[in-house]
Amino acid sequence: MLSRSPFQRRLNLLYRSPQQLQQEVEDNAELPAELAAWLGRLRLLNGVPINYLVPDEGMLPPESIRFFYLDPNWAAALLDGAYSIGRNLTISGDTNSMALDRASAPMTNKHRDLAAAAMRPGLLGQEEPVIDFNTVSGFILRSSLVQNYPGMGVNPYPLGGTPDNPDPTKVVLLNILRMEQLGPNSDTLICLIEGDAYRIDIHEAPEALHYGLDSYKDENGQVTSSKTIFPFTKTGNPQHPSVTMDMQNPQFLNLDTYFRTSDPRTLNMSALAALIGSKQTPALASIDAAEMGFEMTEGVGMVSFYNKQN
Amino acid sequence: MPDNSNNPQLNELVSFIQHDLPGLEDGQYQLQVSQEVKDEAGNVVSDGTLSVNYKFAVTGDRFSLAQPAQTIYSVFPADLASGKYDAVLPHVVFSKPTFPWTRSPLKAGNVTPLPAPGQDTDAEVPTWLTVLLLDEDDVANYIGQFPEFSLTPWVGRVSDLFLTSVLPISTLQDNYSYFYEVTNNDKPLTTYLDPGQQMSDSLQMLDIPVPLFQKIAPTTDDLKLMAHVRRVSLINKPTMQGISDQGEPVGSFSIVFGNRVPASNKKNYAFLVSLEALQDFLPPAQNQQPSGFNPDQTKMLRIAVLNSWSFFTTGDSAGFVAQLNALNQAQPPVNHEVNTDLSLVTNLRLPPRTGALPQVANALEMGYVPLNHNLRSGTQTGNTFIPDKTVSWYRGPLLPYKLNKPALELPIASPDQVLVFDPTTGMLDTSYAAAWTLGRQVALQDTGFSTQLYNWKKGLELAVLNSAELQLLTEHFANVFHAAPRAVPPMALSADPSRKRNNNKRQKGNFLRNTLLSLHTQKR
Repeated sequence: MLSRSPFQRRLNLLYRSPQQLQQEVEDNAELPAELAAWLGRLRLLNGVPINYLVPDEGMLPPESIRFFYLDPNWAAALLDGAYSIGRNLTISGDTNSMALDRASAPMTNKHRDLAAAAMRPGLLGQEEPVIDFNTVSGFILRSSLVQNYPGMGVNPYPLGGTPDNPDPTKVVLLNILRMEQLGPNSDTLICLIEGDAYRIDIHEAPEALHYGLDSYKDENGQVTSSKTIFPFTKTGNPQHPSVTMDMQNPQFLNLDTYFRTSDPRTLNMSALAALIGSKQTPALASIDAAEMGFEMTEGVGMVSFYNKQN
Repeated sequence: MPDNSNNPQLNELVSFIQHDLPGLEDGQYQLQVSQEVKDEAGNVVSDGTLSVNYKFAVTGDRFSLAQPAQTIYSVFPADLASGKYDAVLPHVVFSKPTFPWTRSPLKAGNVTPLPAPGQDTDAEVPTWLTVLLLDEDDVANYIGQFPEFSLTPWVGRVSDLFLTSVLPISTLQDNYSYFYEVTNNDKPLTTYLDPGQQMSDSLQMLDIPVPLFQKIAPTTDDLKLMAHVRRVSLINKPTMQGISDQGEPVGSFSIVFGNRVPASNKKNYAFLVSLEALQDFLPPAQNQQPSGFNPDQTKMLRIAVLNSWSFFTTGDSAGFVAQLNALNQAQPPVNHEVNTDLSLVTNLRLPPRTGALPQVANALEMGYVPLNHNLRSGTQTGNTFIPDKTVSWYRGPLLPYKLNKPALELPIASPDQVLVFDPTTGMLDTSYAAAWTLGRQVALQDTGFSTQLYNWKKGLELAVLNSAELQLLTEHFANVFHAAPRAVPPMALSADPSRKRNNNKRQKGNFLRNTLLSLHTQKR
C-alpha cells in the first residue's frame, strides 16, 4: 500500500511549496559558522581580483582616489555563484536543488551578513554594530601614500553629518566595513563603508608624525632656525597624566644656536630639550622623550574629500 | 592645513610614552634556583644547598633585521620621496614598542639594570638605534683622507666586525667596529656573539670616518630623547597584518629619530644604524671633555645598517597632505583650503573621449567598459576551436552612482540567465554573468569551503526527504497506531546532527517512525 510513487508525489509537493520548504529550513537548519564567515568575506569582495573590481586602468590611474557605490546586484550574483556549489545547472531553474537554495537563501544570507558585519570589529576587539547592507559606498585610493603611510586614518561622514554641522550631536561617523590594501605591497587601498559616504577625511597616522622645525637656513655656517611651540600642562594621575596644550600661549623658540658648531645641521637635542622645558609654566629643568615628542611633532595633516555624486 | 582642533575623532588619538622597556634586554642569561630548608629558629637543617643552573637567551635583532617588513612600520621621509624636507628630522617607526631599548649604546659595565618586571621607571634610557643622515658633500669632505668612504652600504659578515689581527678572515684591518676591544683571542670569539648568531651571518654595513661620525652622532644624553612610544587608536586605520588585526583597538609603536636636518636641494641618504656599546665613539656632551678613550681620528668606524633609504630635498612642498591634495591631478589648493578641484572626476568610471557616441559615453558614465568577449559558439577547424568574438559591456561591483533597486531574481540557474542584451547598442552586458561565474570559481577553488557547503546542502536535502517520508507515514498510519499523537508536530529536520535544539522533537519523530516501520514490516 505504500509505494514509491506517493512518496515521490509528496516530495515534489514539498519542493513546489516554497513557504513550506523555507519554513522547514529556517526552523531547523543553521548555516555553519565557517561557511557564514567565508561568504561574509566574499560579501565584502575579499578574493575578488582587482581586474574584476576595476576593469580598466583608466578608471583608476596612479595617484587617484575614486568614490563608488557597491552594486547590490553584482554582489548578489557573486554570492549566489559561490552558493551554487551542489546545484544542478539547468536552463529551466526548476530543479529541487534550486528550490532548496531558494528556500535556504534568506537564512543563509542573514548569517552571512552577520558574519560580514562582525569581521572588522572582530579584528579590532570591538562590539559588532548592526549593519544595513542596503547601501554600501566607499572609495578606492591608488597612490604611493598607501605604501608609505600604512596607518592613515579614514573618517567617513554622511551628508549632513559632517563635522561642519554646527550642531555637534548631528555629527555621524559611518561604519567602515572593510579597509585594506589590495594585497601586500599594493599601492591600492579599498574601503567599504556602510551607508552613503559624503565626506571622507583622510588624515595622517599619528604614530608616523615627524619632528619638524618651522624654518631652517644655513648660510655659510650661519644658521637661522626657529620653531613655535605650545606649552603643555599635565593634569590627573602623575603616572599617566593627561596633557593639554595651551593653544593661546604660543612660545617662539629661536634655535639659531642650538646646532653644533662642528656640524651646523646637527641639532643639539639635550640643549633643545632644556630650552623647551624652560618655556613651560612653571619652567622645567628638562623634559623627557615623551614630552619632547609631544612638542616637536608636527600636527596631524588631514584632507577632506567630497563625493560629488550626492 | 585645516584646523582639526575641534574634531572629536582627532583629539586624544595619540599618547606619547617615554619608553617601553623590555622585560629583559637581549642577551644570555643564567637562572639559578636554590633551595635550603630551615627550622623554626632559622637554622639551616638541610645538608648544603640544592641548586640548579639554567641558561637561556633572549634573542633579538642585532646587526640586521630578521623580518624587516614586520619590524619597520614606516620611514620618513618615504624612500625616494622628493620635496621640501629641509626642516624635518628623519625617523623610523617600528611596530614593536620595545625595539629601541632591547639593547644599549652604553658599554656593558655602564648599563643601568632594567627595572624588575612589572615595575615602571621614569629614568631616561638611551636608545641603541639612531638614524644617520649623510649626503654627497660628506663624502666630498672626507674622501681625500678616507678614499674608501662611500654611501652605499655593503654586505659583509659578522666576522668582518672583528679586528683582522684577531680574526684573519675579517676585512676590518685595524679600523673600529663593535668588537674593537677584542684584541686577543684567549676566549673563543663566538662568545661575543648572541646565541644563534654565526660568524657567517650577513649584514649590511657602512664604514664611516671617525671624525665625521663624531660630528653628527648623538651624545648619550641626546639618545635618551631620540626615541619614544606612541599608543594610538587603530579604529579608523586599514587592516594591517599583525598590527590592526589582533583584536585590540589600540596599538603601540616606537619611533626613532635622527638629529640632523637634511641637506637642501640634494639627495639625502638615511641609515638606521646600531650604536650598541659604541658609547666611547659618541661625542661628549656639550661643554664636556671626552673621557678616557679617544678614538683615532684617522680610522673608520664600521657600523651595522639595519635599514637604509634615500630621499630628495628638491621640489615643492611634500608630505602626506601635499600628496593627498595632488591626487586626481588636481591643482594644489591655495592657502591649504579644502581642495575643490578634486571633484573633477571622483567617481569610478572611464572618462569618455570627446566626440564619443552618446550611447558609448552614457555607458562609460555608468561605469561600463567595453571588453573583448569570446562567445560559446564558434567554428571547429581540425583540432582547434575558434570562438566567435564580439565586444561586450562589463561593469564591476563598484558603481559611480547609487543603484537602489535590487533587480536580480535569485537563485541564478546559469550565467546565461543574467546575461543582458542591450538593444540600444546591440551589445551584451556580461557584468552579472561574470560576477556569478567568478563567485562559483572562487568557491570551487577553495575546496575546504566547497566541500563543506556541498555536504551541508546534502544534509538539507536528506532532511527534506526524511520529513516527506515522515509526513506520509504519519498520515497513513495515524489511525492504525493509536499511540501516535493526533496532531502531528512539525517534524525535525536537521542538517547538523550535533545541534541541540529540537532534540526532543527529533527523538519523538524517530520513535514514531521506527514504530510505524516495524508495524509495516509485520503487516507484510
